[in-house]
Amino acid sequence: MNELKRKTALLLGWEFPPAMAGGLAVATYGIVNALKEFINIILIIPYKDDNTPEMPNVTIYGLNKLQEEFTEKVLVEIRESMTAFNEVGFISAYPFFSHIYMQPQTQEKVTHQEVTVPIDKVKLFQSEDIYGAGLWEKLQAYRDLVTALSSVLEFDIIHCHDWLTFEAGMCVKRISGKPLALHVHALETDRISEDVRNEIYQIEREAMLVADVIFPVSHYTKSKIVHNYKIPAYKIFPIHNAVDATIAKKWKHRIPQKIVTFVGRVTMQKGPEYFFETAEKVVAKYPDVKFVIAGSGDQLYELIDKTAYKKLGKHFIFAGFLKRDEIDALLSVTDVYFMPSVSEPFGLSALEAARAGVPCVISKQSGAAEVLSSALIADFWDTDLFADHIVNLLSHKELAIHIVEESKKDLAKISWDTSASQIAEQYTRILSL
Amino acid sequence: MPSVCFYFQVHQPYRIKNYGFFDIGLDHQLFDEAKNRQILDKVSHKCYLPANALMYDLIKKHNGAFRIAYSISGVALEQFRDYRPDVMDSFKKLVDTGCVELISETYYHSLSFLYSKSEFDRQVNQHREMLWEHFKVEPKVFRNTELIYNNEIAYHIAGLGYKGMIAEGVDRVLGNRSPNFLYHPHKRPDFPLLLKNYKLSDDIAFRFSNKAWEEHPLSASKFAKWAHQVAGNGEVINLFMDYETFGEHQWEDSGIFEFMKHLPDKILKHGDFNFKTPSEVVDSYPVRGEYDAHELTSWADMERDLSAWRANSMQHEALRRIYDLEDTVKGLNDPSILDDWSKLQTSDHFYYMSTKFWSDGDVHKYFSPYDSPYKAYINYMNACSDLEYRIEKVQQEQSALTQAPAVAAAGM
Repeated sequence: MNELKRKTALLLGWEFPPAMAGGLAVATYGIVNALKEFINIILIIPYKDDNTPEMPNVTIYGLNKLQEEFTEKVLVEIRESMTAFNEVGFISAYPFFSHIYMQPQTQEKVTHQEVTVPIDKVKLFQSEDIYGAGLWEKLQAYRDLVTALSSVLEFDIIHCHDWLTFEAGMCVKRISGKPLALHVHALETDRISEDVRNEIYQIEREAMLVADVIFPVSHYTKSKIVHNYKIPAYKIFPIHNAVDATIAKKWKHRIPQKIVTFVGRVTMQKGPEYFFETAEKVVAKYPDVKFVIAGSGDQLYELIDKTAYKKLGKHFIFAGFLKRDEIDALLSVTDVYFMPSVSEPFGLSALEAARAGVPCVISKQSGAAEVLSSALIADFWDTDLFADHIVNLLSHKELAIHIVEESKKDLAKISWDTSASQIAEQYTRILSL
Repeated sequence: MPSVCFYFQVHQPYRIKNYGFFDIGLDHQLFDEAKNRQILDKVSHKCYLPANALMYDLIKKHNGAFRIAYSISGVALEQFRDYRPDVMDSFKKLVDTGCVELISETYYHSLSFLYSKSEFDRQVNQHREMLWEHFKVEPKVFRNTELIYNNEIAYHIAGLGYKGMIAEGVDRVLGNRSPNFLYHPHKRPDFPLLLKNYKLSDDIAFRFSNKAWEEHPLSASKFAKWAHQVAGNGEVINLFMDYETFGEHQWEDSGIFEFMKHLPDKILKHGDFNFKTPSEVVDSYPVRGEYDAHELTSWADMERDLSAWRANSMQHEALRRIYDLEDTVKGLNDPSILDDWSKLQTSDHFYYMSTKFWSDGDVHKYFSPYDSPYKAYINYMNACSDLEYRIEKVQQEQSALTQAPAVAAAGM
């Protein structure tokens, strides 16, 4: 793998600190920071500012700062690999044995094309909020700007993070001819439903068919890719996310009630209705509890409404979208972390809770359950079992302590370095080093 | 002899500060003093001071012929006392003219009648004491928060000894009858009701500056002409409105002050017309019919019911949570907890949680300091959590004190 150190990987990212909305930024950063020990990295992200972390061996381009790099037009070399089939006939003396077969012939075509770089689109990326209205316009601009930028860069492999960068990745592969690795942090079939076949699904699928290697964040996600996207399993290699060992400060105060915490987007994928159903059952058996929901999302108002309608208002505290240090402070006073996701590719928040010394109750349908084998689990719909787990942890201190100790051992088995070295192994294989 | 009866409502809540999870149990200052002061300053500048000056001048100019009434909530009076004594003085000056009546209401501008009669009575008494302390008056006429009214409330108020009550003249109870007479609640002909003439009141309070209104611009002469048409088929014209109509809801450049300045003149041009305060109306005219309101009515929105404060789950739950605490709070004898618990009952808190017009953006949204009714609910519930935290602490301290002698006796 030492040969790899002389090579360069072009990473295409979307979320990256400080532009964070969920786990994607944390995971991308974790991967880049660990992978830089194995290979040189060029990272292209939509937004970069003074708060973007600087790392040795890593060159970061923020599209918002792309002003001076380009004149209006750029000459781009496009290498297209075309495989054609020639029909060849074979006739034998015995008519019933004659057959026709197809013989493949591959040609490489190199063309040059002048491409207008839409430098004015740089204005779309001037804010830390990289989602929001006009997302499709931003994605198009991202694709065009990244393609243009990559044409003047030297790299050996392309590594895309999540569907937002996949189209750009496919274009860069087509033009540069370099191998394409896709890092799948989430799937549309997780976010919506297994049957969804919308535009985003098509992008995800097309990219996965074209890619040379796919890195899902869990075995769970790998099986979803095979099952829902019909991608052959031989090129799919799960790479677990990890957490770095930060020591969080304990919040200076705590309320007397027990606290059960949820951190994440309040959207269907995260199971808010199962969260509520479980909470209702817990309160019936262990009334001295408060459920804290740290996050915002399209299902938030409905959840608030339900807690009020069922007369459980005082058992729920909605903390809103919290920043990193606030989440750590919250976890430091949490008694149980609860993640009832309907379909969770990984679930970094559960690992962050375990790191903070909080016992976790999580859904079987998550990547985190593969890593935290000591966590108490249940199927996402099994609110009775979830409630039992939570009440047990709240009522029996020894159980909670035991789970926390075991979880620390689980966490010790994973690290960004391990994951990066697994990625590096795959790079080496693909580049035939 | 038709009498024009003006009553102006003066109220400012104690708004809750931005109160989050991390504040619970740590920050016991639930109310946003800086913001409440700032808003009071703004409204004093745009409305209270100039409008009070105008009313005072009109009273002096007309030598007692111009007479009006105010109902000022206890929480507003507290804020005047603490933040703007000059405004308090301007109200005192008005009351001292003898031409201004003060109406009784719940101190905390609350929905307490719907949850606890004893709490309601406590707040009414507290308000009476405040009126005596600052104005040396004893109110004779009552208005409930936001004119929330029905027969049952009327009976209770009559039982407290008031000589009359103010309510909204709601079409579905009046039928095709006019609000321009005194009515009485079901089976109580001895207790007069002054019903708001909503058409004429809202012409001033809401439509005045609306350029799309066919009667815009509304001059004092035009309005007086409408009022004069009541002669012969009405005895009283009850013009009840928010005092902030003058300068806040209707800005000064709409001409609202000029309008009001000339109105008494134009009204009085008709020899039969005069101005009376609510008490004077009650003394001068007989009840003419029954106003039988079984269901609760109010002066809010098109529905004139309780849906502005008590319609969705959040409102119901928040109201339930605060009123469930009554017995515990009162058992503690802790003045600061009692004070905060009382201030959390002000109707505005629940008004901010209304989802009625939220998607359209309307009257509700204008009045709310929150981006969304859900934010208002979350904020309120967090504040309640802190209150409950303090209650538990005090309960623990008090039970520790009662246990100490027993421990000593056990020789430990």
